[in-house]
Amino acid sequence: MLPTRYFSPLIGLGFSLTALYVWILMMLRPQDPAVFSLWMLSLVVLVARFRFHEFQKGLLLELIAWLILSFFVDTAFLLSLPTAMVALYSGKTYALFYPMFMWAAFSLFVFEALLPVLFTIVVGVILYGWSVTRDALNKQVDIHREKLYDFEQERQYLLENQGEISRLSTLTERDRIANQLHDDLGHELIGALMALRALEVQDSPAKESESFQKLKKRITRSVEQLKKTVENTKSEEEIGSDRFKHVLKSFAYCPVEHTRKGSIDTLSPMHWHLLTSVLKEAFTNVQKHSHATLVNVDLEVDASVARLAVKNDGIQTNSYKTGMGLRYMRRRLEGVGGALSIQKDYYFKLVCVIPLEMEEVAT
Amino acid sequence: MSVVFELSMKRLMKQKLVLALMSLFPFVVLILPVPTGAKAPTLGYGMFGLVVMFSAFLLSKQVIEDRQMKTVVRIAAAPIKHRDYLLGHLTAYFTVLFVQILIFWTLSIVRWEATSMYFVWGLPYLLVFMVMGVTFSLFWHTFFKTYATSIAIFSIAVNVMALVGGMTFPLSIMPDSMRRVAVAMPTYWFSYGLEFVVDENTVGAIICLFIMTGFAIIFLLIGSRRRLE
Repeated sequence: MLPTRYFSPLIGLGFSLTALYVWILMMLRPQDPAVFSLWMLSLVVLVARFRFHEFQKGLLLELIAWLILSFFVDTAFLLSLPTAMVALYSGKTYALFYPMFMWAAFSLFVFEALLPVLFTIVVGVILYGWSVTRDALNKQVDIHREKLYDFEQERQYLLENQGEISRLSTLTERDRIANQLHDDLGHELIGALMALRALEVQDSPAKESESFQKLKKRITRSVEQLKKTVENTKSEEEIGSDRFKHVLKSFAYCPVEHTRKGSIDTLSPMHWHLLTSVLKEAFTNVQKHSHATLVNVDLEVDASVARLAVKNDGIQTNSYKTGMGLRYMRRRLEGVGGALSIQKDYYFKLVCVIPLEMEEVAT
Repeated sequence: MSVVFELSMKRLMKQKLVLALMSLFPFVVLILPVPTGAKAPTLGYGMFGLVVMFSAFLLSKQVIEDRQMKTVVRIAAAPIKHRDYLLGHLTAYFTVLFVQILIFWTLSIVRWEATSMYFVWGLPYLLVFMVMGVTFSLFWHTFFKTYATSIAIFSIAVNVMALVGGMTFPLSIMPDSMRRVAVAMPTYWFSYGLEFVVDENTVGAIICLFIMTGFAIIFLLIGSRRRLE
């Protein structure tokens, strides 16, 4: 296998041109300074082309110049061959006929001069084919590399998201347990304590007994311990709608107007999590890509869906390309049966819709 | 560019041995005897051409040393364009070599007998050859990583070039088969051009100058590429 890193069509072209130049020099009368200076001129132009990476520009003009020069110097047509080879390499169709035409017109069908002409055409076509194939393969590799990068990013994003969901589930469960302890057990204990205090007020003979006092003490202690347990169990971190509100409040780039409609209480922590993620992404976009002076955040919940619209007045350009963050956001929403859309007119508006009955909670 | 030029000149002035040799060798060439029957001191000019080649190479040591010592990497990070760096250095080399050539040329008029046309053409020939020599050194250095390797092979290559190019013997005795190879050497066109001057063929002399300029451009185009390693 050829070491492709070092042996490219361009290197092949370099070698072929060198061989062609030596060949032409051997065919000419190099001892004649006039002839040699023409050969040198051709070489200087070619080296300059490669040096400044402009070897595909002005090829037709150069070939025409050689054509005109051939009327005055009989061997000048040979010196047009390297340029013709470069033109062939660059995929110029006219370069396919040019060498044969020059040979017929200026060499008057001399067989010896036909060989470098054929060499030019054959090598030029082969190098062009090689270059096209290589470019196509390079493009494929680039596409695959880009896809791989995207997948890797997405995997990373999903892993982070998975961790976030897991953490959120834990917090939600702790919150639910704390609420249940507070509402059910706490209620019962407080009830029992109140009943004992009622007995004390009624001058019941039982209140003097030792077991009554012990019972009261134990229930009082149980209530205090329950309070502490509920406090410890409840998450200090904001979750659900509190987190959503926190994100809204902490956005300092420009003023935010927020409206809520419908039965917001029906939203689960998972809904809030998704809505908060979309809101954060929308805010990031406003900061990065707009000169907004006002952002409107409208949340609406109806019987079947929750709809969040984030609108800003700082649109920069019409050619907006969806970034990576929004792309992943859209995929996540589509994973639970929702959707994300972008509207652009005078405003830039991001609309997210999430069904209340989500399809796949784990996403 | 002027900053680089000044710095390069300062560094050149520190190469005292090189400067001393550069001053000495023109005199050595000047005392060489002219072959009997020669119309002009073409051989002396050829030998001096060899001195110019070596002088240019020794002066351009800075370029390869900068690369070897990673100075170019630091320069690349500085607000100096590669073009300015290169032009500054080249101008410094040209300046020093110009002085050497001017001294030799002036003394050659006194020392040797030839037509005034020969000496008039002699100066542009030496100057163009000097430019070619500097650009050739630049070109040569691009193929090597260290100065030691570069000069070791250069000293052999330049001697071969001078020999094949006819700088060290009269061109009239060069066989035709050798001429076919020699045309690829810039040194050949230097000697050949001086022959034209002796024969008072102005067109031929101008074309030879043009060819040497062509060589210089090619060497500069290839040698001017920035290499950081």
